[in-house]
Amino acid sequence: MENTTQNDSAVEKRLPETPIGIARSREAFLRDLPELLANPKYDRWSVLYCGDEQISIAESEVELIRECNRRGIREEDCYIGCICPPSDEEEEIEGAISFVEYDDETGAFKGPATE
Amino acid sequence: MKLQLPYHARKTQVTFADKIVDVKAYQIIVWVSVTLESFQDWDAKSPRFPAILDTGNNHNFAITEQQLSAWAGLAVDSLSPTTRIREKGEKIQLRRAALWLHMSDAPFRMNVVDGIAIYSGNWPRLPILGLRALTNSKLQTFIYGDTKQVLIRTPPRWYWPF
Repeated sequence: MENTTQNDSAVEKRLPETPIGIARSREAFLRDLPELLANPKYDRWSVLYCGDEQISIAESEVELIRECNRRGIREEDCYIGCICPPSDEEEEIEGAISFVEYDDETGAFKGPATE
Repeated sequence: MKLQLPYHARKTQVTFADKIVDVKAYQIIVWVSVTLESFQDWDAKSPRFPAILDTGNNHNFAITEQQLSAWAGLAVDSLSPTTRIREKGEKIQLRRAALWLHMSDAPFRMNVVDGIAIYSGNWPRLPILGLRALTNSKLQTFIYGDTKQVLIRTPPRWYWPF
């Protein structure tokens, strides 16, 4: 029990805005992910965790949402993960801030810094 | 399911609801909707809005809080937070949502279970659909530079045997 509390506290520090039920379920997902990845059948399928427990695996998340509804699992108590190679805890991405547009009329690039 | 759409070598505009937005030359525009993740089926009342298809974006989908509110009709707090990503030193919250890509026949629910990125500033100017969402949804994307057309489709169930 003490370990669980310590783990929860660590997770809360890393993901302060994330409900603890989601964060804890995600930890269980990450724990099992290497095993899930070993089965090519599950490539990019979705898997539902509630706390420490793997509830279901499905090709589409919609099936898992139905399963949540059927079991009465609340959104803030579960995590649906994609069975694909894991990313870092806070993955560095090139997304919208890196996005620039070239304007043919002005001959200039526009990005978040110039907006 | 498939979607075939043109892109242009000059600046154009798209209109939706009561809005007009500029599309720069060589930007590929797709039409999307964002709903709560708990929506199991497509709701025809959900607003659709344009997004730029950007294979250089290595995440799922990027949208600002303001676009989420004004274009998708969703308050940011209505989407559960999951994890965070970092971009150029900034931490960006990922949130659970259902992302629908409007194909020719029907909306297609994309696999974005990792979450969509919600940006607090006023950039990107238009939402961005990234390569991760296309990949995890197992969609095939073809860009035909000769005819300036894009084809996005679910994989065919069979292939010619050659």
